Amino acid sequence: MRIPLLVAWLAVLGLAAGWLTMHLKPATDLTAFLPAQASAEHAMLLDELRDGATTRLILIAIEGADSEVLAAASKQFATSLQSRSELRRIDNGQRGDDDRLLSLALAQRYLLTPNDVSQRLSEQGLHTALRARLRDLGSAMEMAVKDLLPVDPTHETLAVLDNWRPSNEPSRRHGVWFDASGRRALLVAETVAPGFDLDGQAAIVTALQTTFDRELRQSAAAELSLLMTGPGPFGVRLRDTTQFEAQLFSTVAVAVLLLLLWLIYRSVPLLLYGGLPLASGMLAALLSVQLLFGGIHGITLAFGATLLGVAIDYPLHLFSHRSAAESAVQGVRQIWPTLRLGVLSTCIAYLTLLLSDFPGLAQLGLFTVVGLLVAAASTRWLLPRLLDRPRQDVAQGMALHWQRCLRQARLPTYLLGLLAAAAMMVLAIGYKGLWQNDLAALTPVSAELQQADSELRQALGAAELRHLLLVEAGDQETVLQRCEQLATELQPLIEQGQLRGLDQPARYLPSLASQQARQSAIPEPATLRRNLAVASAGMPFRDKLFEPFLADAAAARRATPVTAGTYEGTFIAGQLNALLKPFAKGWRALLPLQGVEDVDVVNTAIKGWPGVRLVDLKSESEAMVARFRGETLSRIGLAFLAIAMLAAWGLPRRRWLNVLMPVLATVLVEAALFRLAGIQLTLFHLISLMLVGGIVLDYALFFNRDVPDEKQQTRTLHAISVCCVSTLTVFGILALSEIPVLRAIGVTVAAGVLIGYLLSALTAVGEARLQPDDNASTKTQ
Amino acid sequence: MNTEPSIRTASPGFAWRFCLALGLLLGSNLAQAWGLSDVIAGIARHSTGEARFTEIKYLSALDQPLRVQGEVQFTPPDHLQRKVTSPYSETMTVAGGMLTLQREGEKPRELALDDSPAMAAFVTAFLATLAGDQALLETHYDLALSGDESAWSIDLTPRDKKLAKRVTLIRVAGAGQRLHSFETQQGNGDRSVMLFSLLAR
Repeated sequence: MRIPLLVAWLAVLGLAAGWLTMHLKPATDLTAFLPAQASAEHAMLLDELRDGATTRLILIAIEGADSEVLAAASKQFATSLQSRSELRRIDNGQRGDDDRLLSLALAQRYLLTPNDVSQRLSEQGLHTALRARLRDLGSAMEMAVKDLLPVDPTHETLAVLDNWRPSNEPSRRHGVWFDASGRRALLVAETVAPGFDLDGQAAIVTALQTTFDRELRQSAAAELSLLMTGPGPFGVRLRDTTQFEAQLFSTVAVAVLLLLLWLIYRSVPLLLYGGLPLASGMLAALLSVQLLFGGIHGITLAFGATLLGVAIDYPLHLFSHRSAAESAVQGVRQIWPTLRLGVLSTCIAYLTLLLSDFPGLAQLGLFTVVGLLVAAASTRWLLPRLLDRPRQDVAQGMALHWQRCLRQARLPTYLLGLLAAAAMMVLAIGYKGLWQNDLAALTPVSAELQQADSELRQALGAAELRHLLLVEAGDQETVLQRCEQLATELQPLIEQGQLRGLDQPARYLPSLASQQARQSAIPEPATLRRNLAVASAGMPFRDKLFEPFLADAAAARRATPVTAGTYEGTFIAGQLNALLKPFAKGWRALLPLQGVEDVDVVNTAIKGWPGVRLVDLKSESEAMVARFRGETLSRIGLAFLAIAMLAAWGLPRRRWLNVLMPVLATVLVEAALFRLAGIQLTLFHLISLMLVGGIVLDYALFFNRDVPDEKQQTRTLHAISVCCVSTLTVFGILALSEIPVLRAIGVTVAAGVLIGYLLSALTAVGEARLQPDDNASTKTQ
Repeated sequence: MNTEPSIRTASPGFAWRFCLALGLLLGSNLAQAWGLSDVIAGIARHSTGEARFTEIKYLSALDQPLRVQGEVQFTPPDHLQRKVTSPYSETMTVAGGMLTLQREGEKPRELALDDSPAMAAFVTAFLATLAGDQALLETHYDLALSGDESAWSIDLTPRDKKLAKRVTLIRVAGAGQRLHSFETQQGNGDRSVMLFSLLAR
C-alpha cells in the first residue's frame, strides 16, 4: 500500500510539473497592479510604462582608451549594428550616414523648416544668409558646405536636420557623442522589443555584447569595454541575478533545513515525505491559476510561493506528534482539528483577495487558497499512510527542558494588548514614511549600475521619463496644431529654466496648416528672384549660381504636404509612432517633458487648453501601487475580522484572545520595528507579513489547544519549535541575500516568526488534562 | 605683414633654383642628411605659437577671389585656432576631431571633420604638417619632396581614390624650417592658398 501510494503521488506531481513546464509562462507586465476596470489614463500609463519609447532605449558607453580610439570603435560598432533587425535605430551622433534622411530633409526643407520662411526668403533674410555663406566659403567649412550653396543658400536643410536631432544631445568628439570627460563614447540603441519583454531584451543585450566582443575587443589595441544600461538591460540583469541568487539561497536553505530535520527526526524518508504536501500544494495552485485565469502574473508566482511557505509546517506537526502508541493515520486525528482551524482561517484571509478587482490579487487569492488546501489535505489523508510508527517519541529531552523554561516565564495576555497598542502608536505617528510606493524599489538594480545609468542619462540628455503632456483631439490635424501651439506656449518656461525641454510630434510632422502656411510664405518666383538679386548685390557670387535654389523654391510652393508615410523606413517613423497614436476617441499626442521644476507652473500654462493634461508617470505609478496595497490591506483587515469571529465562535471564550492577540501583536510590532529602523515597507514586506500572520496563527492555535495529556503537550511544543526553527533557517538564509527583494522577504519572515513564536509561547494557556469535552476546539467544521 | 607670393609652381626661377640646388646637394655629403623627414621635423619645431596668415581662394562659385587675413595659433598635437580679422571677424577652432565656427552674434556652429571627407583631408593634412607627424601624413597621402633646404615644397596626393577626385593636391612649401604656404587644389578647379608670415613665437 505504501509504495504504490508513494509512486502514484510522485507520478501525479511529475505529470503536473511536466504539463506546467510546457504551458506556464508568467507574465512580467504590470497589469497585475491595475484593477480590471482601469481608467483610460491608467491604461495609457501602463502602455507607456510597458512599451513606451523610453523603455526601449539602451544607453551604451564604450570605455577604456583615448577619445580617438573610442570614436573609431563607436563608429565601427554603430556600422556593424546598423542592419540588425532587432534594433529600430542605433545612434552615436554621427552625421550624414543616413542618406535617406538627408535627401528627405533636402526635398522637403521648405515644408519642414522650423524657421519663418517668409523672413528667410525676404531680401533681408537672403542677404544675411548670403553674407554668412560667403564667410563659410572663406573658412575651412568651405568644402563641407559648398555643394549645398547653389541649392539651399539659407541652409534650411541643415535647420531641418538639426530639428530632428535630440534637443539636448551630448557634445561630439571626432564626430561621435562623448561624455564631458571624453572617456566614454556614447551611443543609444532603440530596440524593437519593448522593455518588459525580457526574453527579447536578453537576446538584444547578448547580441550587442557578442558583436562588441567579436568586432572590437580583439581588434583594438586597447582594452575596450562596453557598458549598457536602461530598462531592458536592467531587467535582464535583475532577472538573471535574482534567479541565480534565489536558486543558490534556496538550495542552501533546503540543504541546511534537511540536515536540521534529519538531526531532529533521524529518518531520511521523512525528509522526502515532508516536501510532498508543499510540492502538491504549489503545483495544484499553479494549475488552478493557469486553468482559471488562462495565465499567471509574475508577482502571483513570487508572492504566492512566499505565502505557501506556511505549508512547510503541516507535515512537521504530523512528524512531531507521532507516538509509539498509535499509527500516524490515527495520530493525525489528534492534531487535525487544530491544523484545520489554522488552514481554514488562513484560507479565509486569502479568499478575500480572490474577490479583488485586481487580477494580481485575485490570482494570488486563488493560488494560496488552493495551495494551502491541497497541502493540508495531503498532510491529513495521504502523508500519514506513508509513515511508520516510531520506536519512541521524538519530543523528549530538550523539548521537556524547554517546556519547563517557558512555563516559568509565562506572561499575562494583556501584555500583548499593550505591545500591540504601542506598535499602533508608532505606526500612526510615523505613517507618512511607512510605505515605499516606488515601483522601481520593487525591482531594484545595484547602486553601481544605477550610478552608471544616471551618468549616461545625464550625458546623453535622455532623462528618465516622468512628466508627459497628453494632447487629445478627434483628428490628427487638430492634435498636431495643438502640439505646435503648446510648444510655442511652453517656450518661455524653457527660457526661464522651469523646463529643460520637451519633445512633440509636430517636430517631425508639422500640421497640414503650418505646412501650407509655409508654402504660401514662399515668395512667388519673380519676387524671390528679385529678392535674391537685391540681397546679393555687391557680393561676388557667380551669375546664375542660385538657379537650382529658385527652381526648388518655386516647386515647393506646389509640393504635396509631408505625411507620416513620408518617413516610412527611417528612424523618424518610430519616433513619430511613439509620440502620436490613435486611440478610441481620435488621436493622442504624448509630449515628454524634461526637467520639470514645478508641476504647478506647467499646469498653469496648460490651463484652459482643451484636451491637454499633465501626467506624472511616477506619482501615477506610485498611486497605482498604493491602491494595490490599500486593496490588499483592507482585504486583510476584513479577513482578520472574519477570522476573529470564527475564532470567537469556534474556541472557548478565554482562548480566542490568546490565539488572536499574538498574531495581531506580532504583525504590528514587526511593522513598528521596521518603521523605527527607517525601513520603508514594500509590497514584498507586506506579503511577508501576511505569511507571518498565517504562521503565527498556527502557532497560537497549537499552543492554546487543550490536549489529553502532558506528553501530547510536549509533542505540540516540539512540533511548533521545529516549525519555527525550520522557518527561521530557510528565511534567515534568504535574509543574507544581496538582492533587496529576497532580503526583504527573508528578514521579515524570519524576524516575524521569531517574535510570533515567543509571544504565543509565553502567553499560551493550553492545558493538558483529560477532558471528555475536548471537542470544543473542533466545532468549527 | 608678409604677403609676398613666395610659391608659384610654374615659376622659371624656381625651376632654375631647384636644378642648381639639386646639383649642389648631389655633390655634397649633406645631401644624404637632408630629406622629407628633416623638412617635416623642421616645420614642427617652429609651428607652435601664433602666426599671421593671408588666405586667397579661387572658387568657381565666385566671380573674384576671396581674400581673408588673420592669425593662426597651433597647439600640438591637434589643437588649432584660426582667427579671421579682416575683412570680417570670426574664430574657427579645431580640437578633438571637431571644428567649431564662432561668429559674432551667432550661435557657434559645430561640424565633425568626419562630416565632410574633403574638409577632413584638408584639416588633417594641415594639422599633421604643423605637428610634424610624418607617419600620419603618409597614411593618408603620397608625399613627394622637391626643392632644396632653402626652398622646398611637398606635394601631398590623397591615397583614397574617391577623395583624390575632390582634393587633387595639397602642396606645402617653405624655406629652411619655415612654412611659407599651404595650397589646396580641388577637382572642380577650386584652389586656395594660405600664406604665412612668421610662424614662430
